[in-house]
Amino acid sequence: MNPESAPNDTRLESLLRGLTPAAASPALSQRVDEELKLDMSWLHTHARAQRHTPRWLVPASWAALGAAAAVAVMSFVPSPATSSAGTLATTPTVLPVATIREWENVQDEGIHYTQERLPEQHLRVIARERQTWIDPRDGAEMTVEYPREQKFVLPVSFQ
Amino acid sequence: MEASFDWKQTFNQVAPQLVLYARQLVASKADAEDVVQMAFVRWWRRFPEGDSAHIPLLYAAVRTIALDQRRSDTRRVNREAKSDIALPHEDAPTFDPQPGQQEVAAIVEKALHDLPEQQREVVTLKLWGNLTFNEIAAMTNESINTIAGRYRYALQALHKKLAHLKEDLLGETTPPPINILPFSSPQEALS
Repeated sequence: MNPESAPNDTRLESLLRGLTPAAASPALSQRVDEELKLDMSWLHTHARAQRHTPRWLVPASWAALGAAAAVAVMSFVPSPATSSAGTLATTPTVLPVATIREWENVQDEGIHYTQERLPEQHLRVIARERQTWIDPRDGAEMTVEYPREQKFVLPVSFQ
Repeated sequence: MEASFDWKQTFNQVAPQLVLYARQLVASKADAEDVVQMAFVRWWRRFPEGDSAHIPLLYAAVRTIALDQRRSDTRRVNREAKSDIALPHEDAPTFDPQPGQQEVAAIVEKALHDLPEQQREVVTLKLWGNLTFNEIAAMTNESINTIAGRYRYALQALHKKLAHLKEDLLGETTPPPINILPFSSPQEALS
């Protein structure tokens, strides 16, 4: 017998359905609102920073470099959804959330003199950088790690 | 993102039912609201159009998160029991009864609490979540016959609890017992 159509239960079901579940507290709606707004504010902050804030130029460059690397890596992965890379490039769906640089070695190349006979110290820094992006819609994380080598020239004064 | 503008409309429609369902799985209303918050945000990120066809997935998210939370709470309760920390007990009402429904609401709340959890879950999803047996079966990974059986048993139990209200509210009258013996009492038969 199908319980949904049992005639003896129909009145009982109607009686039970007539009871209204207690409303959720107003604080719950507020909390959901804040959590959803948090996602949106990430997107807006990111977009503004790229356009107007010169301080973001370097991180944005790193983000672009990382995204390009990620797209390049993903292009080697066989996937039926070939249009996803294009979508990723045109819409800011992933946000840079962390840049970690680990110094692996520092080589002191000694004191050198410029053409003007001014002393300067040359340093070579070998590091490993790790860029992390997050998709705020579902929390997916993407991390790219690559080696990096930088040469520093420091002014020297003898006293 | 403009798609988020009307999440409140969907939320207001489903939140009371979601909290009611979550309360069948976790200890308090506060815990239930935490579960609903996580489930709704997760669901809305995935379906920002708020399509009602995806509501069963919202209930499934509530179930998954509630069971996860309960597992971690069990560990916490065990720890706190060992350290003699008193646990809060909450008795917030489950229903918001209309005038004249207070007695029924109290009985149903108590009866729901007394049901086995699996029956309580099915009857909540069916009656207040408006899910079909198919949707509940898919969500709980059970057969549709199992779900229908649990619902049947739950209704029977609720029927018993509400028996004394049947005449007034359900329009049923208890028929007098049929005397199949030619005697009015066993004593008369023995005398």
